[in-house]
Amino acid sequence: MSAGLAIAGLTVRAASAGRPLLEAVDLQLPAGQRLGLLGESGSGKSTLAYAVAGLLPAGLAAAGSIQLDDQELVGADERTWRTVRGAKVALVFQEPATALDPLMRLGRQLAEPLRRHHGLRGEALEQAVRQALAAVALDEVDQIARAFPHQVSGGQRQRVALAMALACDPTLLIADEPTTALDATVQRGVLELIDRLARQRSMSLLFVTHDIAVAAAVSDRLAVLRSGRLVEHGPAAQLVARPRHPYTARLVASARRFQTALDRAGQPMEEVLR
Amino acid sequence: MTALTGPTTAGREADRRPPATTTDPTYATSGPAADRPTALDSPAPDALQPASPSSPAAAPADDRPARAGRARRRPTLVVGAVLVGLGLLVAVVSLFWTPYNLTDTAGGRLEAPSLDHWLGTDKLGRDTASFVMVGTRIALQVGLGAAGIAALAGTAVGLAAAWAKPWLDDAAASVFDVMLAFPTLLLAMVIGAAQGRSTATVIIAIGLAQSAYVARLSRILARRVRGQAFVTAAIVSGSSLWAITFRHLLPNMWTMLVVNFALSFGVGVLAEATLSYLGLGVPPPNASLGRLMKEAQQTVLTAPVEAIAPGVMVLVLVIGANYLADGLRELADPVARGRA
Repeated sequence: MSAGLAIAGLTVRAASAGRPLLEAVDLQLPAGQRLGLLGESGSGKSTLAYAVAGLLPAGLAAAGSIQLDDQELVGADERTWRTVRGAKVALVFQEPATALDPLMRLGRQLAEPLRRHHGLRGEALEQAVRQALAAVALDEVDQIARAFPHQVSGGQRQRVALAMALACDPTLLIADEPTTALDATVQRGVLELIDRLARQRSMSLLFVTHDIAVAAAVSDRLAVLRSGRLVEHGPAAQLVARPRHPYTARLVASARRFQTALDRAGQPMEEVLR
Repeated sequence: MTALTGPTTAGREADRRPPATTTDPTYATSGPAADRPTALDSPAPDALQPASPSSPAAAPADDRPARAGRARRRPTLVVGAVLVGLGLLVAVVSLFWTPYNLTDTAGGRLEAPSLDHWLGTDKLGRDTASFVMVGTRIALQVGLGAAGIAALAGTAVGLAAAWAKPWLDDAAASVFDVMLAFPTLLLAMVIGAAQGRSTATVIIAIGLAQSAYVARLSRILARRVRGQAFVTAAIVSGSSLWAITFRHLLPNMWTMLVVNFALSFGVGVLAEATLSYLGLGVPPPNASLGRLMKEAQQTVLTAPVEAIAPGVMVLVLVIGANYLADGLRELADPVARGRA
């Protein structure tokens, strides 16, 4: 297997029996590519993302295989994880309000991974913090570095969280619904930023979302999860144009109806969305 | 808590970008952004809360004047600090000077308060004021020592439990509950019997009994902080558990722990007075407010001040500690603090 993420037969199950949260999922994400992981809530898409980052809650057990750059991660011990996390895998979360420590100035939070991974100190560290903030298209860099999380907007917080995730130059960025909590214009800005940064750094991107339009915009390939099973998997353009699974078809059709709704704004909802 | 309804800052970024074009309409389904810090905003889990000052009933649309006023008027904090400070002053003075020596029996028996003996004398002719002063010092020593032991031991155990595997965490929580059900008095008697009675024994006994409360509180606080995404982010970025504990968990917990320290100081003072009253506390020749009250009991009708004075001092310390805790909690309001 070449570099990149290769998931084979991944099954995640709660200790207290019941239906598995993920069942025999096979996925490949070659290095530098972008994969959109689609599914409704409860479909297991976040579980998959967390399994790849080694963050499954206690009580959930993974079986099968997750290989990142030929390193097996299922059953890896804590020491192995520490070499993987930060250095190879980074995560951006859905909720920018909780992704940052409310009592720590943003600059200090961002300095932490930079210091640890690049061994920077003093003036060089401050310079790196400013660069990292500028890289995520934040103006007023010094002001933001001094601010507490609640003093900046949701979009700005998500940009800082992204800067923190990127601070260790990961090869794989997992974005767990990073724009769901943002309003539309801000969402677009953050999406463009993630897209640009992934290209610039030739990072692999695993983009988890329930929004097929968002997924199609940032991904080369799409994978659709439902009830813990992978129902469809293919190039983004093909999957949107010719969905094979009825659930995918419904997803695409619903998204298209919302698009029509914008063109026909003001008309009764039952006519537009029918 | 009414203080937490500050204005949100969402939407500041909205005008940084051109509006979305009509080609991507599904973006409009995003939900509202939760915009307030959440780590510290739940009320404290204690039962000893004195009446809080009348805060503005509902947060007005523009709450700037209200916030400025709140910053200046913190009556509970001031009253608490003054009362505890008074006790501290008396204790410090007693180190250098007391009106009479504690062994001085030259005064008349059971005298009423006078210029010579401010609080009268006891049945052996000793000066009550001097005893109350030294007793205050002992009470502060026991209260601070016990709260310190409880804070250190309890926080360490609580943090360890919060990081432990689920079964170990459950077991620890059960142990805390058993310890909470175990009477402090019984614990003090057992430790006293094993170690012999001394001031240190009393401090350790009260401190250990209280540490279960602190452990339970800090376990809950630590777990709540641990569940937040920023801790997960720190784990993913490769931080060690030690680093996360000291950099993220404790800073997000310490205001509550300080409030709890003030509370457990008050409880410690009260527990020492109770133990001494029952003859289980700080042994003679050390003065103790509880023992002063017990000794004055037989003669309370002829020399009431001798019983009332140590009682008032216990009251001052305990009420002061509770008001101080309440004032500190108001001060810890993260929104008010962050915007100050």
